[in-house]
Amino acid sequence: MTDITLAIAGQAGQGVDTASELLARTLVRSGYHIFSYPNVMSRIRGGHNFTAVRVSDRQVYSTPGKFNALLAMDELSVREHRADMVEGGTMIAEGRMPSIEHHGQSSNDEARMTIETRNSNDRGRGERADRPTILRVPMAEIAGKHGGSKTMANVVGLGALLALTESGDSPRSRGRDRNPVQSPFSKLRNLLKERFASKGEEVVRQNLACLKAGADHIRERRVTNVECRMLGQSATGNRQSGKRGRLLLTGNHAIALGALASGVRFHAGYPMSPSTPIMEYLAAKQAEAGLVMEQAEDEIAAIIMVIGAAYAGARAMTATSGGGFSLMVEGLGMAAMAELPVVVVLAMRAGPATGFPTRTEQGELLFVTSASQDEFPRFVFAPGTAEEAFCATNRAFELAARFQVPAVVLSDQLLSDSLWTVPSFNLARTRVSSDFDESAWQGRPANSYRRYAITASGVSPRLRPGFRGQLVRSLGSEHDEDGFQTEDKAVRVKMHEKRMSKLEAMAGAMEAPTCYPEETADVAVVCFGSTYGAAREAVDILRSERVSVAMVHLCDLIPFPRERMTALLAPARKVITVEGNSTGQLAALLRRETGIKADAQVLKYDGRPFEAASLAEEIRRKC
Amino acid sequence: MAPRDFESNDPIAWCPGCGNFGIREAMKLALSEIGLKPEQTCFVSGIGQAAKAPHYIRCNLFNGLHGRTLPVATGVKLANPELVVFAEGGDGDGYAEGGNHFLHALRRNLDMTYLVHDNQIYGLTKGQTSPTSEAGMRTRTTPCGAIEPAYRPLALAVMMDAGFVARGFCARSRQLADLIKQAVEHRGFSLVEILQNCVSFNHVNTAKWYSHRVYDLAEENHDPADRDKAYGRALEWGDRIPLGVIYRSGRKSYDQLAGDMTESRSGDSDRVPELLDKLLAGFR
Ligand SMILES: Cc1ncc(C[n+]2csc(CCOP(=O)(O)OP(=O)(O)O)c2C)c(N)n1
Ligand SMILES: [Mg+2]
Repeated sequence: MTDITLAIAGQAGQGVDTASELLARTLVRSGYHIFSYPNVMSRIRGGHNFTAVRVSDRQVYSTPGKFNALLAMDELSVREHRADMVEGGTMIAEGRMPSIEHHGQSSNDEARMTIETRNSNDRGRGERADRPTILRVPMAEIAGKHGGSKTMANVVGLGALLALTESGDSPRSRGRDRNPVQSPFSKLRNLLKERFASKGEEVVRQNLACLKAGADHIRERRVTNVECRMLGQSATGNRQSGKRGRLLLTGNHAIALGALASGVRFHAGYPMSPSTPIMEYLAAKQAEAGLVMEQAEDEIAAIIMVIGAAYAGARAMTATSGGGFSLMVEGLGMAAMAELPVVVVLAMRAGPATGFPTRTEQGELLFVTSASQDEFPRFVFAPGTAEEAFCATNRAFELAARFQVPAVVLSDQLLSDSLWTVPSFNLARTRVSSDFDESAWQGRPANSYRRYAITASGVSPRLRPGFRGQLVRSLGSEHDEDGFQTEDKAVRVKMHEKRMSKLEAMAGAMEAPTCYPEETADVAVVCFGSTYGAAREAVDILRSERVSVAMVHLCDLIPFPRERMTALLAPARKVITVEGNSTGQLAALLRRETGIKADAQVLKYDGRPFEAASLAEEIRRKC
Repeated sequence: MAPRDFESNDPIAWCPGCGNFGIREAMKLALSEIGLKPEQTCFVSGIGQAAKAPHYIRCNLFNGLHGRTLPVATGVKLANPELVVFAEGGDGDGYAEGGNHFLHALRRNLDMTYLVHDNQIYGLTKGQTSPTSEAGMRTRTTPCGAIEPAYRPLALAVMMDAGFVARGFCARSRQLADLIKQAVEHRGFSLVEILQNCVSFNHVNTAKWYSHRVYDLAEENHDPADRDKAYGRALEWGDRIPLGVIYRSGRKSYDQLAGDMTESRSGDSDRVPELLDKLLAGFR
């Protein structure tokens, strides 16, 4: 089994993001699965950013541990990540001479010896297995020479990094033992051609020249990295292309695509990390998708515009983070009172106020379950993977429309920003229902429409304003069935009960929690949202050590699946909750809704995602 | 349809003698004369005594939150451009709680008509100071007199190059109806600010106070296309207060600039699988 990590680090503005995306896509096209997590600072230039690209021949769900190879675009990256390297890992670092260093010291003799003795798998005398090998490549200089600008240094670096996946044989013998078309290197060549085609032949040529020059720099030294070399033999069996090929996308993309798959017609929003790429992707596809996009003056306006659009008949959404959602809270209640379906994506980051703008956390669970005054029904979905984010967004649109209530898709920076490989979305399972039955209103007597008519389900038929002979009256104030404002206590009770009566059917329409790999075990690890990946892999680790443990993951969170959770957790000897906040909000919710008290909690609130290995360790200690 | 065909049977909750009655008369007159059917209109309002106005008119209605009148109207108009959209509310609703929305609605220039009943006071909450209360005005929250100077929203609208800027007076329903008609005909954002007396809480700016000061711009050869002059008129307040069309800009409306908006909305759910196939290809 292959499970290795290639990381790229540098300052903001050095192209870490572009290079890691190109690397990830190249490897997906070579048949691998990817999980790529960007560690970025909230700045445009300088600082220190890095992205760790985890590569495997099976599906991976969480952030990697140590790096097998690192492309360091600056000196800070070399210092910063020395301790993150696996034993015998390789760093490719910006710089001229000496060409090879060990643990920061260097000697040309040693370097020469290393080169000489390391032309195959066996480790040479000059190499100390516990220290990373540092290969210096003058990336900026090479980029200037072959690309005309040092901004292409990241492409030079990518060439050097991918050269590590080659066999390390002499350049002449390369390609003899394996089909060169399938090598990651040639996949990257093709990807660069696609990517820069619109910028003209010259730009393509420069990029390819930079890529080759970077690779040659490593090839000439005939150094290699055992784990990376395995990537050179493209993973077999999943080299599907065309329509069935694997997708590489972020959680944000998955959410945006889920919205488009649900027939979204209107999006209003205000930029806020980590949700902004949703709005940007939709804006880029606006014309193709027949979608109206408006950048609102603030998040208050954004959700209120969405409510206006929903009233007028459009499937409508907004996306934001905690600060923006705080501003949307009054609007959420108005959607509920007016009984209009709106979908709000809330991508959590860490901390109150501005907090950690580009980091991850799950501190808003209880906030979203009760945001806005008084009581009203709402949906909350907390998908765990990109695939689930796509499906959950579709459910959010469908169920919000069916029950005429607001729905929140709860993401976070980890889910939203990470690049995931997905086998492709199951479009056969997505649905787009029609929200209006206008034919039923043809020929009815004028002025007979009652927006809030009491029905058995609590859901009143909708009609678009503008329909001949009928008027649609929607109110944020308490109202009667016709949409006239009222102060009558009996009407208030009747209408409140009408709205709340939807809850039972809403709960019934939700999907059951995901149990992995089976429903019952001695220990139940309960989690929600993006903690899915680390929890699932921690369960794998523990089970390989014969610990009887299973994961129960909640995507469809609110209305809370009381009966299902009670039944699922009853046989467990121990219930351990795992979540990204400091007070155990999921544990509190579980106890409130089912009376079940978690036996132990694993909490994390440092703005960084859980890692499977250390999570497994913590769970083991609490079992 | 006759003006009375636009009357709803919702019992009116305004104080006897309130300026809002005159505004309602003007609205019914305008709707009738434009020749609109109730179902073609959509009135969006906020919260306040003024914001109750659409309840007393037969129309499609969205009555939402205090201050959030314009964003609802924006969403409605963007999602269904065929509706004739009116936004309506008080000075507190539009200029204080919704102040930022007002600024951006002026920029956005969607084709809608915004009516502000300006009684220079908060009526529904029983008499607190408003952004348009005169400096020195004593209210329940400014017992020693308001410290801040009054806001001049019409001047802001001219400064923002708003499409259509006018002022009416609740006691002159005929003129007000004509202004509303012109506002609806204008393609773009139209602001109609309406001087309205509050019999319960504003004992300074009474109907009489306004009557003694207002004059008709139409009688003074004012050219609404002249922005500099319009700015001067928009700032004029005190002994003489202008009524009528203050400013008209040649600015294109949002829908004119964005192209045919109904076209972009034509995507139907049958097309979704095809669209998704195409978009997913971009991630391989
Ligand atoms: C968020 C919010 N804040 C405050 C209020 C209370 N409130 C209702 S109406 C109003 C002011 C009304 O003044 P104006 O908009 O000028 O309308 P008028 O009653 O004078 O016509 C206030 C403060 C509210 N409903 N919602
Ligand atoms: Mg007022």
